[in-house]
Parts: sequence; C-alpha cells; structure tokens
Amino acid sequence: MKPTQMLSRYSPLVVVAIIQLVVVLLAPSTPPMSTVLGDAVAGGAAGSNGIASGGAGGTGGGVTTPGQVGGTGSSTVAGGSSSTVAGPGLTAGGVVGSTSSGGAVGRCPGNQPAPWNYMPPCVTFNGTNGGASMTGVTDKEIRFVWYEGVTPAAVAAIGSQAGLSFTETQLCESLTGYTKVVNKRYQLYGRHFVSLDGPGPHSGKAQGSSSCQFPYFQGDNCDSTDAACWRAQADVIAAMKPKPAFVIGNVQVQVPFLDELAKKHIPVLGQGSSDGFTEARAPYVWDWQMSMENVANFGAEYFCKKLAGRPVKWAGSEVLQSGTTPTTPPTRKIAIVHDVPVPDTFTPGAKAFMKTVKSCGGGDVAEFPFDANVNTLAQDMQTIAAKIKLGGYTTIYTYMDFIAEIPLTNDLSSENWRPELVMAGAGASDDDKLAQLMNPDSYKYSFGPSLTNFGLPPQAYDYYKAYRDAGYTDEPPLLGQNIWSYFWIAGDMFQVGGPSPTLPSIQAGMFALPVLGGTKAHPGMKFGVRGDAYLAQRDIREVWWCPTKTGPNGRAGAYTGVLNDMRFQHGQIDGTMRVFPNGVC
Amino acid sequence: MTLRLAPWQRSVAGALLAVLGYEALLGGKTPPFGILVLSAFIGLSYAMLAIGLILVYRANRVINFAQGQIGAAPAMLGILLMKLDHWPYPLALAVTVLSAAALGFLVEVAIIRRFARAPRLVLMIATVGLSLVVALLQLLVPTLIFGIKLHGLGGRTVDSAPPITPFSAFHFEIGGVRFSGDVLVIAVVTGLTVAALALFFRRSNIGLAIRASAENADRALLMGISVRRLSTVVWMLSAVLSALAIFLQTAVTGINLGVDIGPSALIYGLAAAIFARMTSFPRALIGAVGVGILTQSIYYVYNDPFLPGAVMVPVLLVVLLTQRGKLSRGEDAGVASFKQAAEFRPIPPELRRLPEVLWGRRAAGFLTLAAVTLVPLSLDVGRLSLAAVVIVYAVVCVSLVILTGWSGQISLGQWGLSGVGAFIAGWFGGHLHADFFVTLLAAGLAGAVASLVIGLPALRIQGPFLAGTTLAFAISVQVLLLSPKYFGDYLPDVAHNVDRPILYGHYSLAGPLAFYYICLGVLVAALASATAIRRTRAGRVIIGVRDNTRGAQGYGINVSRTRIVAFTISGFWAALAGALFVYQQGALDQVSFDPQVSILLMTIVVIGGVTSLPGAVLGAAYLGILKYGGFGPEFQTLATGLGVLILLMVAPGGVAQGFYAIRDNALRVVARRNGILVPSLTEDRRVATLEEARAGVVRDAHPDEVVEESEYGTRLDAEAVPV
Repeated sequence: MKPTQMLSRYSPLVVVAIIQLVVVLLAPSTPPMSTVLGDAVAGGAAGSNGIASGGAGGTGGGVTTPGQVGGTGSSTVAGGSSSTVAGPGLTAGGVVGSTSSGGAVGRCPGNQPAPWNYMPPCVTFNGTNGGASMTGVTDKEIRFVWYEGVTPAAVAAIGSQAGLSFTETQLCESLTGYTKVVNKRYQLYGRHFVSLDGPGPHSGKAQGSSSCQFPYFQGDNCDSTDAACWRAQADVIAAMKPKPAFVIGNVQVQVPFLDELAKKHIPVLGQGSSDGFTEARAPYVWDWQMSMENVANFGAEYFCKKLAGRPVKWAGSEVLQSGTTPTTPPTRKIAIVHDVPVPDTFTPGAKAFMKTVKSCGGGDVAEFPFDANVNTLAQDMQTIAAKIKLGGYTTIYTYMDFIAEIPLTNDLSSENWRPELVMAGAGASDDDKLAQLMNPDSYKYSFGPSLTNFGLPPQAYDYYKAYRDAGYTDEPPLLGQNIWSYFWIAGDMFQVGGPSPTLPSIQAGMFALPVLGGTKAHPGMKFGVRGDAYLAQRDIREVWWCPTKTGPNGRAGAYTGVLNDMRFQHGQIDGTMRVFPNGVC
Repeated sequence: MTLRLAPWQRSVAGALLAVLGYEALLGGKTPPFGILVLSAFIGLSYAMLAIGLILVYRANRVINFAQGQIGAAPAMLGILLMKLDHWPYPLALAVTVLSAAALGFLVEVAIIRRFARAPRLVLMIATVGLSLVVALLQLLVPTLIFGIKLHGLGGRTVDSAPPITPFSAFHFEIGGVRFSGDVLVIAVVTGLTVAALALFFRRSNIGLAIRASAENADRALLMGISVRRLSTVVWMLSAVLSALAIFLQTAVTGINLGVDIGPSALIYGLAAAIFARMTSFPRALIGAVGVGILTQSIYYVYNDPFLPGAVMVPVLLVVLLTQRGKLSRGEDAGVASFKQAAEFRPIPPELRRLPEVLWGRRAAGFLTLAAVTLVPLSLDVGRLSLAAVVIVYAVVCVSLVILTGWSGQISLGQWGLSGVGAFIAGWFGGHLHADFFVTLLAAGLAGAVASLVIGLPALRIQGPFLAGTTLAFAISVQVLLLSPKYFGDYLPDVAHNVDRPILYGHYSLAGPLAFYYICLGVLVAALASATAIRRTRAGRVIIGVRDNTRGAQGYGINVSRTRIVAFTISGFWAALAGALFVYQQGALDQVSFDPQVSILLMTIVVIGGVTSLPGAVLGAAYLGILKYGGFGPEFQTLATGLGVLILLMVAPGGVAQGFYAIRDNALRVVARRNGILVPSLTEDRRVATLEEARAGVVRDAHPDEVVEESEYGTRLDAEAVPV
C-alpha cells in the first residue's frame, strides 16, 4: 500500500484518536466520588440487651412505652443520632424513640393478645403521626415490596411434593394474612402496611388466584449466577412509583440483589448470611438468620466448653481405639470442613473458629475447605475423608451446607473412619427431613449446635398462630415460617421506629430491643450487637442425631434436643455433655 | 543439530519431565502414597468421561457436552432397582447397560442423525441442549419410576448411602487409605474398556469403518460403509460408557441425585482426552489418571479447592505445545468432510446497486436503528438494564464471529477474556478512578494480550484442543483472577464501586438509558470494526486460512500470524465488553464470570449463525428476549436447553438462516422484476427448462426462472441445474 493510500484510509481514525486523547486529558470521563456504605452502623450497636433512650422526636401525639417485657438490660445507647446515612429518604439527626422506664410491662389489652415471641412491647399512642417521615411512608401507609422470584414449574412441582414449597394460592394467603396481622397487632401509629405491585407482565396481583388477590413484585427467574438479572430486579424496585420504604427479599434472593438495593439506599430484609456483608452495607440489609461468623462463634464455644482437650467419646470404634492403647480413647483431634462459596461467606468464620479453639486448648485445628460445586464435590470429599482418616482426626466440625455433607458422610463410611461429626446447624443441616439423606452409618455420630427446631407440631410456632389469627382455618405452608419471620421484623421496625420513622430511628429502636424469643420453638433474636448488628439470631439448642427415632415426617431419623430443646446464648453453654444419654443411637 | 529420540526414549523423557513438573508445582511436597492411589482412582472416573468424549469425537468430530449425563438416567435406574427393589447386582447392571444402549440409540436416531450434514459447531451446541434433556431424565427416574419424593413427605425415600454390591464387603488398604472392592471393579472395568475399544478400533471392521467415516464421511459412504449405522453404534457405546461410569462410581461415593456435569467436571475429562490427542484410548487412561493425581495432589498440598481447576490452563498449554507435529490430519477440521460453520452469502453484486436493494438496505438499517434506539424508551429500568447486558453479550458474540466464525478457532472461554477486561475495569475504575475510555482501552489491550497467550496453541492445533484450553482459561479467570483471595487489592468491593462516569465531566451516564446507548455505541463500533476487517485483505486471509489452510500457505500466507491476529482482535473486543459489563453493573460480581456463560455465548452465536455479524446480534437478541423478556421460566428453558435443540434441528443455520432466507426471497423478487438472472440466488433452487416446466416435471419452478434450453450452459452455472 502506498503511503498516500494509507494516509487517506487511516487519517480519519488518527484524527478521532487524537481528539479523544485531548478530551481525555482536558475533560476526563471519571465517575463521581462514591458513596461509601457502612458508616451508619457506628454508634448504633448495643453491647447487650440495650434499650434505646433516644431523644423524643416526631410530631404529633406523645408516645408512651410502659416498659419492657422481661427487660434485663440496663445499658443505654444513644441510638444513632450521630449516624449519617447518605441517600434519599433518610432523615439524619434526631432519633424518634420511645421513653423507657424499664421493669415489667403488661401487654396492651386487645392489641397484642398472644404472647408472640418477636413482638416488641406494646406502645400506646394518641394523636397524629409524623407523616411522610421517610421514603415510602405517608401519614396513612408504610409501603413495602414483597419480592417473589419465578420458580420453574418442574422445580415448583418437586418442592411442592416435598412440602418445602408453596402454591401460588398459599403464598397469596400467607402474605395477605400476615400483612393483616401486622396491621392489626402492631403499633404503626395510624399507618398500615401496603404491598406494592411490581410492573410488567409478572405483576403479583395479576397472577394471584381468583380467590386471593395480593399485590407483590413477581420477579424474573434469575439464576443464582446471573448477577445482572438480580441487579436488574433491584433496579426495578428502586424505580417504583410510589417508592417502597423497604423490601422483603425472603430467603431466596442473592447477594447482588441485596448489594444493589443497599447501594440505592433501600432497606431490604433477606438472606444476609455474613456479618462482613451486612456491616459493609449498613444499615440496609437485615435478616433474622444467624450470621455465619456467629455460627462459627457458637461452634467454637461449644468445642471449647465441651470437647477440646478431652478424649473422644461418640465416634466409631475404630476412632475410639485409635489412641496409643486401644482401650483409651485419644484426645480429640479437631478438623473443620467448610464450604468456600462465591462470594465467600464461610472462610472468615472458619478462621475465627480455628483461632478460638486453638486458644482454648483444642490444638491446631486442621482446615479442609471445599468448593461448593456439585461437579467436583464427590471427588473433593473423597480426598477430604481420606485426609481426615490419615490425619487421625477424631472430631469434625461440619461448617457446611447439608448437600455437601451427604457425600462426606458416605466417604467417611467408606473409609471406615467414623469420627464425631459436630454440626454447625447452618444450611438447614438441622432439618430432620434433610438429615435423613445422610449416610446413617457415619451420621449416627452427629451432634452439636442446632439453630432451628423443625421437629415440633406446627401449632407450636408463631407463623401458625399468626396465620390463624388472620382468619384462615387451613394449614399454613411449612415455609410460612420464613414469610412470617420477615413480617415480624418489618412490624417491629415500624413500631420501634416511632410515629415519625426514619432509618436511624428504626435502627436505634431495633438495636434497643432486648433478646426476643428464645423459646423451644423460637430462637432468640437480637439486632444491634456490635459487629453483628443486622443478623438477629442469638442462640442455639444442642441436639444429637438418632437414625432409629421416627422423624416429623414419619420416617426413620430425627434429632433430639437436650434439656427439652432449651436454648443457649453465648456464654450459656456449659461443660456438661448431655447428648446420647443412652449411648449412641 | 536436532536431537532425534526413539519413541520409547521420548516416552521416558516425557514421563521424567511430567514428574519434574509435578514436583515443581507442588513445591516438593508430595502427598502420602495412599492419597496418590486414591487420586489415581479418582482419575479413573475422568478416564471414562475422556474415553466417551474421544469416542464421539472420532465419529462426529465434536465435543459431546452430554457425555457426562447421557448415562445418568439408566445408571440411576439400575442403582435404585438395587437399593429400593433389591434386585441382584448383575441384573441391575444389565438393565443399566441395556437401557443406556437403548437411550444412546434413541438419541442418535432422533437427534444426532438430523445433524449429519450440519456444521460441527451446530452439532456441538446441540449436545449442550441434549445434556440438559438427559439431565432432566435423570431427575425424572426416581420420581416417575420409583415414586420417590425428594427430601420427602409421603412417597418412597432413599438415603445417599452406596448400594450394597457383591464387592462392597471386600476392602483393602493402601497407605492408610481404605478402598472397597467396588473401586477395584472401576479399575478393572476401565482397563478392560480401554483395551476392548483399542482393539475394536484397530482390528474390527466396524472400528476401522468408524475411523474412516470420521475422517471423511462422504468417501466412506462411497465405499459402501453405512455411516449412519456406525454413528448409532458410537452413540450407543458412548451412552453405555457414561452409564457404566456413573453406576460403578455410585457404588463408591453414594447416590447424588440431580447432579449436572458442568464445565468444571468436563474440563478434567477433556484434558485427558486432549492428552490422548482425541484418538488414543490408552493415552486417555494415562492422562486421566495423571489429571486425577495432579488435581487431588494440588488440592491436598495447597488446601485450596479452586487451584486444581485453575492449573489446567498451564498444563494443557504445555501438553499441546509439546505435541508438535503429532496431531493427525484428522484433527485439522479443514481436511475432514465436516464443515465447522455455515457461510452466508453477501448480496449478489448484480443486485447490490439496484435502487430497490439500496433503499431496502437503508430502510432495514433505519428500522433496526429505530428499534434499538426507540424500543428501550418503552422498557422499564430492569429490562433496560438487561437490554444493555444483552448488548454487551452481543459485543462478545461479535468477537466470537471473528474468532470462531471467520478464523475457525473454537473458543469456549470467551467470557473468560471478558473477565480479564472486568478485572481491569474493577482496578482502574474502582480503585484508580481512571478515565472511562482509558479503562476500556486498557481492558481491551489486556484482553488482546491474554488471548495472545491462550491463542499460542492455536498456531499448532484447532478444534477440541483449543476449546479445552479456552474453557480451562475461563475457569482460571473466575477462580483466580477475580477472586478476592488472590487479587482482592485490585478488585472493587463495597467501598470501591465501579460507578458509571460523567462523560467529559458534563454528561452523567448514571441513568440506565444513557448507559444503554453507550453500550449500543460500543456494539456499533465492534460491528464496524469487524465489517472493516472482513472487507480488507486481512479478513479475506483469515477466512482463506480457515477454509483451506494448506492452500493459503501455498500463497505464502503466514498461517500462524493470521490466527494470532484473529485471536488478538477477538480478545480485544471480548475484554472491552467485560469492562463495559462492569460499568453497566456498577460492580464486579465474581459469580457473573461463570465459565458456563462462555458456553452460553457460543450457543448464542451458533443460534444466530456463527459466520454472520447480524447473526451474532440476532442470537444475542434471541437470548435476551427469551431469557429476560419476562416470559417466564418455561420460555427461558427454550433459550438454552430443549429449545436450542429444537431450533437447531429445524434451522441448523440458526436464526440467521431464517433471516437470510427472507432476504434472499426478497432479492429473488427484485431480480425477477428487473429481469436479472442471478446464479448465486438460484443455485439452491431447481431451475427448469421450458419443456420441463411445461411437462410439470419441476413443480416449484417459478415461471420467471424457466429458461430456454438453448440458454443452458451459457447463462447458468451447469452445477446449478442438475436434472
């Protein structure tokens, strides 16, 4: 090619490149300064059962809190008045709180009749509320979005058969009923909860069955790895008119959804499994579940108080006889097997567990991380089981999802090495029905902390009572437990947030509540613990697995709780071993 | 002076190098002997996968993505018969083998045979759809046949423990690790399978015929070989192998209902098959055992579950580059009778300058422009955001058209290159707050460099070898480059959002519509760049090398440089798209760069028409509409699973085939009206002589296309008028 030809062909490109270069130098296209989330948590977390005593605020009538039910905490926290949260809809400054006089409190007659576990103390209120005190709140309404993804028909059918799913009508009735109950039973200062309908062809209202109409945001069927899809769902919510005060994402939503809503300064209740994640996005992501870090803390305390430095006791004979003499069981040699999901919410907890157990005399804890990928799980678990055997590990902390534990139990059985399997209780591994899938040969040595209690009759649970309170006479779906869990959080938020709720006032109020629940069927819940402020569950029960005991589904295999399913908070776990009172099942 | 070694010397030298490499990778920390033996046994499961892959590759010249799953349903049937209905082991095994053979037969006759004349890429993508169908079958077996309710209330239930077999009671220990008799059975069966298949292909007439038909189906057919029947035999064998592998493995590891075999498992089998040059079964066995030992040793020593997958890239690169000159002619897709991709012809030069055509093109362009600029105005923000994502995918698809469609290099890791761009965007945009355009350019350049590295093997090899390497690259990018554990200091976190820029300091791109148009602009730039390349000598050379490598070499073309150029250009655009994706999302989600997306993008391109730029855009639009159009989950399965299979069976050329058929019909009308005979438009239609038309011999001949007999051979290409 001749130079002239070359010049004529490429000169426009060169000119454009030069212009662009000049523009980049003179007027760069850079992003604006980012808003960093996570500042708002400062000063808001209580050390223990703190009670908010923020300055009275709001407009209109006075608020009187007769006191706290069983309130034992005396520490007070200035609830977040110094917290500054950038973004729309948030009013920085004075916290609307309730005056607290401490001591026992009677419930308000007729308003909160049932001793429901997670309902805050009754508040009487006369007068007018503060009106539109935050985005999504008016003098009459507290608007929220219930996000419900589309479940493929095949998956829904399987879930429905298993009793672990619900039909559209059941969902609609549960949402209708629980909204009704919150509006009826909680002090919302003249407002009521209103669910917003999502746009587009998947409007929840349009999809509702003929007998039940409840508007909600029927989202798309986003794959767990399709972050773009999840973020787009959040975009839709952020653009809704009218805007919601908060979103309930339930347990099905993925991290990008929560992240995007937090970036858009919209509070969201759902599936925040890690302290690191929720604290970094404070105060926007809330959940009733226990953080994985806290799960590991409980595990560490359990090991330190009961197991570390002691001889192994509830393992297979080959493990018990693996000491220096066959008649003397060896001192426990501890390992932790844990998921490494993407994003990784397990490793920080696992590392903390190892450090704590080592410091309390448990020795060096071996770490066996694995990829929670079903494609490589079987192979990885074979190697882990062999490593456990070769290393002579007697006691395994199974800090993992139940799906991954299934092959582990098989491989340990194949290795004829059946160590003590100390459960973490996370990832639904303490659900009797799911544990029935484990290899009974090795899983019969399983015991330890359990987070939930799935083994009681449905009548024992608040979700059942609330459903009936709404006027329904049929049985609520099993997963109504999850649905109700988010409704009580929302109800609590807008009761403790006062007549002029703002995010700081809600945060202060929630942090000030004492531990709620803590009964046989209902784990104790407490927001506002420093470093773990937005994930509520605070206690465990202790269980052991019995493969011959009949489970709640009528099949062989069930957990048994010690001390009649008594629950233990941090510091309450003692050194007494109560599992397997009659020897291994 | 060159060193000449005898075959055995080469083998010994290779083994020594492998051991040295292994030691170097592990830093001298060799796992205990028991773990090594266990790893070797784990490798045997990859061996069965590799053998199945080779088998199908030998017959059909494709990577069978369904190899892992095709036998899952029959295996599950046999296992559950044993476990729940207490059938004897031999009977359950016989049921597994027979039902697998039947399924293989059914799959070949109902599906594979329909792609006999389709481009190989199309068949390969069809196996992706097939894998989803057979995976579903596996899920249905427990429910429909045994009435098992998963996790269940009511119905029968099954725990995950391995079934009791005649070999379960026998155990032995090696290096402290305990093995059951079932592990020995796997070893024996795998060994026998390898030996039997090797003999079968060398000695039996059918085996020789399969090899012959794989090399050149047309020639084999002319020699009286029933290519169809052979293909059926191969698929039956492949299904039996898959079922056997799962059946025997389940007796060791227990029941794993509903497990899908994705890229991270496939890569190990593929690595072994590549080591075997997609031909040798014994080498595949050795390779698989080697992969098992290597991956599990790395896992053992480094205690990182992601490293084994990530290390496959350097391993494959070394394996491929050391196999210089050893790959048979059959591996060169240009030699075999199969086409990699279908070509779409341009508008014939006779019609190009006609006013109708000119205005038609302008109108089509205007309508397209109007659609892509105005339709977004009616979308909600969620759909608008996803529309921008689809456009980003379209840019990657354009890069795939250049690489795969034009250059003939199969990349199953293009989204991995986008991951490289995403990394740069996260670093530059999130941490350094660099200029948007500078970031995009840096990302593109980084992608070009990365593609240069993974494209090096392309100097020597094509087809499945490159596909395996690129797939491994995509896995590495996700688990290493985008992992906060390794590169957390460069990746954005909650404190370092990758916020969209203010263009030139004045125009905010924060809104979804503004950024949609930016994405659209990038797509237009990618299309313009690709079109420009296609029209230049460089483009013609790229296609020439694809179609006839040796012919191109004969004209003095540097084949290596040509392929590398295609890789580099393609990598640039793929990585730039990745950076754009990060800005669009405002974050860098590690999960977004799942290697499965790379396969999805290849699917999109094939659906669209792999050699066509409009096809790439149409394919992306197809995916976007079905996946994100709000049609519900049933329609989404059409986008990636069964729908792909059906679409490709109906239109092997993808959406572009329909698009070009409509265009060609319109052009024929134009040609008729103008009285212009266009051979390239009529060669695929029956053109009748006047007499034939009068006699009604050729019924669908258009009157305008009927020509006088005297015109035969003068106005029409003789080949276009066979009687």
